Amino acid sequence: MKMTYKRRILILKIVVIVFFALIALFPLEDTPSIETKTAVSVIAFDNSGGKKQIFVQMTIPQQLAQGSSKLLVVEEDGKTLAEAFEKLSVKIGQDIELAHCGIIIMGEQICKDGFVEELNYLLSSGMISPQISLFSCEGSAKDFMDKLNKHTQTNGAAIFDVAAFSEKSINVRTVSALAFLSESNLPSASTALPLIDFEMQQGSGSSGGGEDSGGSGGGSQGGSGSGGGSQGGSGGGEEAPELKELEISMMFKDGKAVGKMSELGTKGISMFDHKSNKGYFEADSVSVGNTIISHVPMQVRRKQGNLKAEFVDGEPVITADVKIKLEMESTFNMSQSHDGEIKDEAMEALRSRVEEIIIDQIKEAINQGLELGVDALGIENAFYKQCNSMYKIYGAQEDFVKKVQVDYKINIEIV
Amino acid sequence: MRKRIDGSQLSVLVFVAVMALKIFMAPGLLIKYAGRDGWIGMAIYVAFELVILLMILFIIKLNPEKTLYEVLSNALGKVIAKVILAVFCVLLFIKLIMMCGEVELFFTTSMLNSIKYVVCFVFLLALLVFFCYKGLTPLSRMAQIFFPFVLAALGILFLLTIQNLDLRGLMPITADGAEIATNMAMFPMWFGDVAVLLGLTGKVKQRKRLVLKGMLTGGISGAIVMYFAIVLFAAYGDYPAIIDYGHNISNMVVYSSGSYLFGRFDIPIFCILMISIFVQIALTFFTITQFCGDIVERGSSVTWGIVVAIILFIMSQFFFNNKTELFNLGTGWPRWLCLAIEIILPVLVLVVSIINKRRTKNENDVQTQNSYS
Repeated sequence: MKMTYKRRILILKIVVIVFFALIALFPLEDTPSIETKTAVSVIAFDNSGGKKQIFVQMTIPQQLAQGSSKLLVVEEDGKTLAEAFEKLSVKIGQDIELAHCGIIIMGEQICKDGFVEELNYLLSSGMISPQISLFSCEGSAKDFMDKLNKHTQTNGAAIFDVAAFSEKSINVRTVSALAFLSESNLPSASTALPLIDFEMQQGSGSSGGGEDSGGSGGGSQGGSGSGGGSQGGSGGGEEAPELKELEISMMFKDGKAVGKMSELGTKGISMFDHKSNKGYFEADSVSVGNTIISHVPMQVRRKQGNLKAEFVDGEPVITADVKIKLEMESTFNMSQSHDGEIKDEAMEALRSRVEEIIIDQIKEAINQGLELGVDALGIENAFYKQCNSMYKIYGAQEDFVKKVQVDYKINIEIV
Repeated sequence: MRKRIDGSQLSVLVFVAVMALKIFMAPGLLIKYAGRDGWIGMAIYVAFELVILLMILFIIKLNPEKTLYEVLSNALGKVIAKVILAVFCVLLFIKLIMMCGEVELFFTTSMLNSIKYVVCFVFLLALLVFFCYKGLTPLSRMAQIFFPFVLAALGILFLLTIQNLDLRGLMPITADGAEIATNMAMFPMWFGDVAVLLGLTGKVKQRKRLVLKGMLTGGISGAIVMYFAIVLFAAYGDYPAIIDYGHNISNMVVYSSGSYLFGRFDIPIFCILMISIFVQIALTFFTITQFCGDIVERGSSVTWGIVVAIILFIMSQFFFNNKTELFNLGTGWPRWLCLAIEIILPVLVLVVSIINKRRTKNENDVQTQNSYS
């Protein structure tokens, strides 16, 4: 019997009703996932007394007149990371959701002991995203998170702003979880994490609107974006932790911390970071004839750094190829006659000085790295990737990096 | 009169068939087992698949009126034709199990890990049976309608991943030498999905440059597959150990975008991409039911659709319902069947088609000569 249009519509309606009835009877979950998960904005790990410690800064939405959320730091420990997470979930009464967590802090002890296995677990289980940023801290992760909690109450989501800014800044190279593991797995087995820390300051902290929270979770800021700071929680001479500038890196060999890189060396490392392409650059002591210009403030507009590896007559040679475009913030110092005109001689002197500074940064990174026993710039990795067949014959030695001749090719454009 | 699909619908189905499973799970599997250079093996497989596609398009062009069963039975007899189709059906059914399994794996790995997929699966099967009832034309039309959205989703994913693509992760190239070949031998089941297009023989309206347009579409699809595979290989090439079956390129979109602040915006884009997988599932399901009807010479498409749906449900939900079983299925004995069918069958059918064509041409020439004399 040919189906009439009405009969077809009737069948369709029955199917739709049956479908939704089945969904209602056999729901995907008994309760919505949002009610069984807790969004974590910052997580920290450490080792203590043979146990793994986890510290999480969670976002607790709450109904308030102004509409805000509460940040809470909770800690737990266990023999393994998996056990610690399980205990944490039991403690909170919800599953830990790390999808919106953008920052992992590694305490001093776990940095010394190494955390490749833990990071491996977090990434392969899919708990964290591969691009999550790693930072190391001096002292215990517990102290750091306590200070972070106080800091967040006065400054809101400043740590995320700092982390996001540092990704692009030439002062320090930020490293993702996947990049850390990848670099630890390559022949040089060396990598660097930015060192993040607080300093106590009197009466600091910028307050914003909102209640006793540091910001609300989720949303575009990845866990702590909207909502303001506290109600003047740091006025009147009370000490409050302030984030220090990110300008020093902790160096790692085989996934374990071996020492700190100086500020100059850290800049040398970030010279070859593809994400770092802006920031302040100062050329000091620019010598123009008999005149010394004390400083020339500039901003980096574009930067590209590569290591080009080759074997010349069997000897390893690496060329540090850096292209950088700088924009002078003020031409006052540069124009000696103070009439706004900059002489060619002065520009040439400035370019030379910039080149000297960049070479010094790179040399400092290499030399200090060697002192610490790390290949700070990944020179050996460059040979492994670019000249693999020759590397197998000549490379793969303990002191390979020391034997490498370093050439510099610095291309500077100043506007 | 048999309903036929037109040339543009064929092109869409070619695009979908070349892409199929490869864009989801295959790159993750290859990087885990074949290492950093697995993308080279994948490129070889894709190139090989395009060669098979070329043969299939010629088969479709040479047989505008005959189905695959009719071509084989005219040349080899009904019994052998039925045996060949039966073996082909087994291969297609195994691929169907894998496709359904990997769709479930994608949802449970990348989205909600507690999703009750069985509810959605039942309705998916009902829809597949409905397509058997309605025929190939509505299925092709549906693919044609959704195709621009799939292309748009691919375009967005491309723009999001290209900006932070770092090809140094692919280096050093071929440092592991012949190891790639050994490990790549595990994965034929994830390739050769174009073989299902043999079921379109005799169901496509002839048009000019059918083969050329089909190959162009297939080539573009293959290039897209390789691009996304390279994105994954470049990101994980230095540390493939953390990849597992179920990991796919959806995370790479967020990684390549450079910041977690964007959230999981890749998820809705991937849901649109899933349409292409659904079309491939529907086409494979439809082809199996058609072949079953040709073999048994009894029963309507709907009847066979219900039978295949029930068997698929049982196999998928009770026997191959986790990634270990799926992986064992894909890397077990079916892979040799896959290689044999996907190489031998198109060659056989093409040779038969060419012979038939020449015979028909000679007969026509003789008739023409006789009529003149």
